[in-house]
Amino acid sequence: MIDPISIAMFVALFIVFVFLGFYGARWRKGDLTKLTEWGLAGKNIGAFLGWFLLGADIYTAYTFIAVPSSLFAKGSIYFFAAPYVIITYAFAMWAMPKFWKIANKRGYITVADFTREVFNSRLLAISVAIVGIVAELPYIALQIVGMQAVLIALLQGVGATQTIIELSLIVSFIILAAFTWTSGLRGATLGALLKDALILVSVVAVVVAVATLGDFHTAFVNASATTVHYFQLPANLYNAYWSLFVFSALALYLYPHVINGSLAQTDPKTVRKTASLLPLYSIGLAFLAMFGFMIYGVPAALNYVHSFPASVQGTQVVPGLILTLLPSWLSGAALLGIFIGGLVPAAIMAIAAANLFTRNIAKEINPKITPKGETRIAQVFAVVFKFLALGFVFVIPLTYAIQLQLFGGILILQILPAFIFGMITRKLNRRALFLGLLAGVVSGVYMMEAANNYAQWATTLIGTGLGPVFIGMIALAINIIIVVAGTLVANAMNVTNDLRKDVLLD
Amino acid sequence: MVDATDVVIVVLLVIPLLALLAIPTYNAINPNLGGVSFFYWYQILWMPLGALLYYIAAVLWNNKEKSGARAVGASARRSSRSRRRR
Repeated sequence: MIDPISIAMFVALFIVFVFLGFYGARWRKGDLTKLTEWGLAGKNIGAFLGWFLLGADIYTAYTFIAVPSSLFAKGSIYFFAAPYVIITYAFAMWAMPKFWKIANKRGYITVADFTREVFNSRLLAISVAIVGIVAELPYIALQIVGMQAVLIALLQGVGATQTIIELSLIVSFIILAAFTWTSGLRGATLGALLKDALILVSVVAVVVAVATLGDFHTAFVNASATTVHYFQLPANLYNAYWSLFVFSALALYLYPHVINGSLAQTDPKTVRKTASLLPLYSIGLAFLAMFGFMIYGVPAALNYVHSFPASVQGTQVVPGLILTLLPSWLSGAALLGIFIGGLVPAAIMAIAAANLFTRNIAKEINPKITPKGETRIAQVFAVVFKFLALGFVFVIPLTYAIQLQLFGGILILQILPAFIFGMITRKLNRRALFLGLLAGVVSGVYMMEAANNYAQWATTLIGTGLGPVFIGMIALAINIIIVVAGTLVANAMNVTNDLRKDVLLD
Repeated sequence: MVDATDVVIVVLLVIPLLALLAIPTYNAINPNLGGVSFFYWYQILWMPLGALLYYIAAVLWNNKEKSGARAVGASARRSSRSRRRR
């Protein structure tokens, strides 16, 4: 199925991509010694470019690999990703312009900067930074899984499947680490432009090909013959469905790399207008998700997917459709789009995590670090974080890669009280906020392990009296209850809170 | 403090959420659209509809902030610039 033309196309475009990355690093070399210059790219991104860049941020390995994979394996429940990428933008339209204004006035570039000053608490700031960093790790791991899936598709037929999987994982990992080290965020941004262009071509090409060449009747008949619920939601999963999409929507705009992208825009009104139109971009995600069952209408692609072990099958849904339906030159380009669609976000996430580490942890512990030292620390930790992320790849069957992103969501949701409530009220006690965050993280990790019987992660739902629900919702509820109760107790005992009242909130 | 525009903005932002939370109303195979069940195309339909409602809300919201925020925004820009100079 694989042929030299698609491999040649893939390699040629990858060389262009790497060149752009290196060129970007050289071109702006003077700026790279300053850590703060890395993060926000000059606050110079307008409405159109912002829409283009943030919109293309949706198209990562999550969209191309993880969502279609889980829909293929588990059915309609994983279409929750569609309502998620609609309503998250309503939340963003309120929260991001508000944070943009506060951050601009006070010179913040991270949420930890904000919590440190408002709550006058190093402990809370460092905790928020650690949670932000750790939450990025599984999300980075998801991108590595996506890159690996593409390499498997490209290299299959060269040797035994297991050898290919291991080899491709190492290859994709080395490329990713080298890329981040040498080119930083400037290079990633330049590479992102090629990524966006290729990815838009990939989405359109695959959607058109499946829509015209796929046999929907066959898809319906064959998919109906399986035990998976593909065409509607089983009644016991209603609470799972809304808890997944509502709490994923709240989680997205808490991630360090997404906040970075929002702060990089020119002004708060642009941030709001850009967010309002982003649901249009989600249409492509919805179609890619439906490929999870549409593949039953393309027998050649289905045979291809079934040639893999069950634990990997789902990740090959979209690559399989690309290889069987597109002409070879286009399939090479589309696969590269997905490959760098994992690589660029992984680099951006690792850099965001490294920035957070340097600015809100290392600098907090040792304030005497020089600007040059800061950059070196960030570079080293961007690589270290990717090694840590790699660890997550082994705790899940690859077909369930979406659980990595959902686990990141469970963690990052725990900064919501300190960040979001912190922007609207001064009544919460900072020690209660810390205890709530701690309880949310601990209970979230515990429930994750318990729900999966302490084995590989295949679910982020846990059984309750109301049927299965998303663990992130329960962990956040525990967090909020402790914050409120702790604040009431502290007030009753007249514990001083010592907040900064002068930080602008409106 | 809360005026009619605020109410309209909140309603516009909440409509898509409610439409998508009402799972039993759209969890059906028929009417299907070219073989795609209602469950899927109903939710996809809310992507352009959501963008339209959100965009109207964004314009109303931005216009509302224009008068009051201009003075505050200008002084914020001035102070951040002077801070940078120091």
